[in-house]
Amino acid sequence: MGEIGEEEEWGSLMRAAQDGDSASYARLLSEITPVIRAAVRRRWSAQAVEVEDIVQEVLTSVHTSRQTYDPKLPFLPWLRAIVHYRTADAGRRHIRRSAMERSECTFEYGLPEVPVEAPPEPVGNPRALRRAIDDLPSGQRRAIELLKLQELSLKEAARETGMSVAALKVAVHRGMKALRLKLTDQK
Amino acid sequence: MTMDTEQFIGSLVADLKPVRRLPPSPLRCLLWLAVASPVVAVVVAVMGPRPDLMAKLGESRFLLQELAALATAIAAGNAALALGVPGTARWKLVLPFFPMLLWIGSLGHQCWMEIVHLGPGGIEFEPDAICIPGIAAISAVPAIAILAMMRRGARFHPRLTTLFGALAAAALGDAGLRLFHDRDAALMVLVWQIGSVALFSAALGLLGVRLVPDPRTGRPSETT
Repeated sequence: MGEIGEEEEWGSLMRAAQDGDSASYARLLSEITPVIRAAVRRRWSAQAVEVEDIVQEVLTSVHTSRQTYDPKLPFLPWLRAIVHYRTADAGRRHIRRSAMERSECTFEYGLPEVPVEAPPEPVGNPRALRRAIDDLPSGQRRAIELLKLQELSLKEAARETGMSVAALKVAVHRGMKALRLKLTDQK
Repeated sequence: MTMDTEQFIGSLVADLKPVRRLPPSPLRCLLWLAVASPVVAVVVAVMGPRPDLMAKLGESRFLLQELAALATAIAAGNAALALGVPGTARWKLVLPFFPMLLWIGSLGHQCWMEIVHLGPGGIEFEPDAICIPGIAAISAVPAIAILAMMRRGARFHPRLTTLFGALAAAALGDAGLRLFHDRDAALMVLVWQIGSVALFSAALGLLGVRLVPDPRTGRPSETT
């Protein structure tokens, strides 16, 4: 199928998804993911993990903004704009992070007062897990605490935090991934 | 596709609910105007229209400034709502500047003519206590209405969206204010009324990231 035929098809699938058709939505997201990934790679020369994070952010934005798509208009400009915004967001975050890392490594005023890290503790140590949870960004930490530690339902956690169920799912997914990475590194 | 992203798509699909499609921005802008204009009209009625209103509406300059303020409100309202649709055409964002330039340009020209005819000493200029609270009060409901409508759109540009929304509300408010507030000296209008519109727009624009938080996280958005 050519790009135009594909675009029309994606427009129809999104229209069906707006009406709540899960099968069309699953097909649409699966088909556009390689397109998103290629577009992110073109704009963002980073490690595969970071690219995949941005792809997931784009997918989240497609999900939370799906009511804004007008089926009478072409689908690709709408999708490309979302990819553009999310990649730009990631770029800004990257620059901020780099600036913070640089400032920590500048020895202009002598060595930084960084406490010596304790030796890594084995996986399964509740203190290591607690520390790893404490290190998560606040949204992910809150999602993990409510959904995994306090075992609240998604609806209860959504009521508690004011976040949407989708945002909570994304936050807990990211949080678990970050915890896995952190605890595996310590092993 | 990595396993992670596949699982992630699964969680998004599981979360799918039917959504109401967002109507085109001009239609939503008309809806906003239909909500906001009666509120402004009620404020004008409560405050009491200026005694010379009919005569003023016959003056081409007054009429031009009122229509330019109204056109600024409509174009800025449309821009604010269009910004909530990814991939929106950029000309929609430039459009509000034309009536705004006409509005400010007409007041600037009037101000210059007053200086030429009356001399710098003859220009009326004094504090006008009603402008800032007046415009804030008339614009409050239109601003709340447009903010509520903006929150249904995508929130990639919270500051710019809120800035346009606030400009729309404040321009509509100023068009209303001039129907009951009979201070017509151009310098007074330029400084106090246009100044209040700018202040109101800038203040809400700065609060934009808090007023239209990112729906992904519920936290303030990071973009412009």
